[in-house]
Amino acid sequence: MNQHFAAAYPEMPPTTQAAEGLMRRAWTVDEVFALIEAGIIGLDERFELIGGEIVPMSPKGIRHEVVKNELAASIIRNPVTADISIHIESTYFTGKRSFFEPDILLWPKHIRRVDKDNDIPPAELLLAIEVSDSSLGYDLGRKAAFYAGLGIREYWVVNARSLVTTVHRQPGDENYTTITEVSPDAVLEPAFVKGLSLRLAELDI
Amino acid sequence: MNAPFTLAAEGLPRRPFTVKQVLRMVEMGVIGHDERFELIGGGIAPVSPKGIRHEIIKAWIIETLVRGLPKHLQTVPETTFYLSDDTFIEPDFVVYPRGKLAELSPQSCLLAIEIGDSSLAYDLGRKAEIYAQFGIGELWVINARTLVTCVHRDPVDDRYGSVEDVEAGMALTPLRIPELSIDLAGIDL
Repeated sequence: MNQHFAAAYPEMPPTTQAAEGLMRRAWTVDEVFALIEAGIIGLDERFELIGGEIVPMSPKGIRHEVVKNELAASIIRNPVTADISIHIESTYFTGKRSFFEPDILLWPKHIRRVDKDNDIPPAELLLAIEVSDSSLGYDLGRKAAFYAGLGIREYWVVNARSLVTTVHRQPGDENYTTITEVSPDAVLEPAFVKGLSLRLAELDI
Repeated sequence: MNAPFTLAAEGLPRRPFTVKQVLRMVEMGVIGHDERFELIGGGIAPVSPKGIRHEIIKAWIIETLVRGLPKHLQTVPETTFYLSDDTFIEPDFVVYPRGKLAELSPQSCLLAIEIGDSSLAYDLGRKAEIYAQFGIGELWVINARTLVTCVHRDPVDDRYGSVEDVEAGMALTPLRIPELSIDLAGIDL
């Protein structure tokens, strides 16, 4: 076959861009769950639903996992986060046609998750973090635009290799309006988590 | 009612579905029976609703083909043309050996016709590529506004080697159906 029909990335599950440029059917979260229940989508498939489209996630490398876990542990261990919910690789549902799987997601503990139809409103989230190795371009590009569009107030992209963090603040319609790079030796202070400060160079990795 | 359309994940790799899976979704009711779409390399692309001009041209072509085709050939409008495990399209017309619709294949399809109104750019672009990829020997794309027919022949890889515009007033004759001659100037629009 031709390039349109071949897998876009060899290390990923089969994907397609054959209908690029054409309007495509937008799935709802409920429809996707029905497809999983019917076995049409495998239980082991990992993907995000972006505005109704099913986008498989690339498998994560060891470095990604180590950085994610150490970073999450350092946030959880800090006493200032006692009243904050910290979810790791949790599916975050937003709207009828989207769900994402941020590596780390923080919101005030008094807000409870109930069900997928009424997940935490994006504006209540304190911080979303993606640790990126192979997905760096996507996380800094399209994903930042999606998160900004949702109104997530602060979004960090941690480069798993260099530990440089790109801090995104002030979400606009298209993207974040304040984007700064923070080196591993500098202090990271989330705007909405009072008292938390991190230096990624100090992580045990 | 069609489900909403989207381009949200444009540029990103998307999960493909097979023909079998899509038919199962319709059976399950996840996809409505009334939804009209094509499956392009595993991506579900809804078919845009047709304008009245499109339908008038279609009606004229049905009559012309039914009267003009030799006895051993047959045509059907808007059939689902299954091309592979992950692709089916819905041409406005296909012409094939009489009684052989069930075995319709790129080889047995002597002529495919698309009438393009709002979908003209797609029909001349990506859609023509798909027809060429699967080796459909001759594709006509009729511009519903101007009645100019873009005749595509000689598929090579994902393009047609020969692409020629024929204006209304000129006779159209498919390469593999020499008995047929059509002039779109006869359409009363």
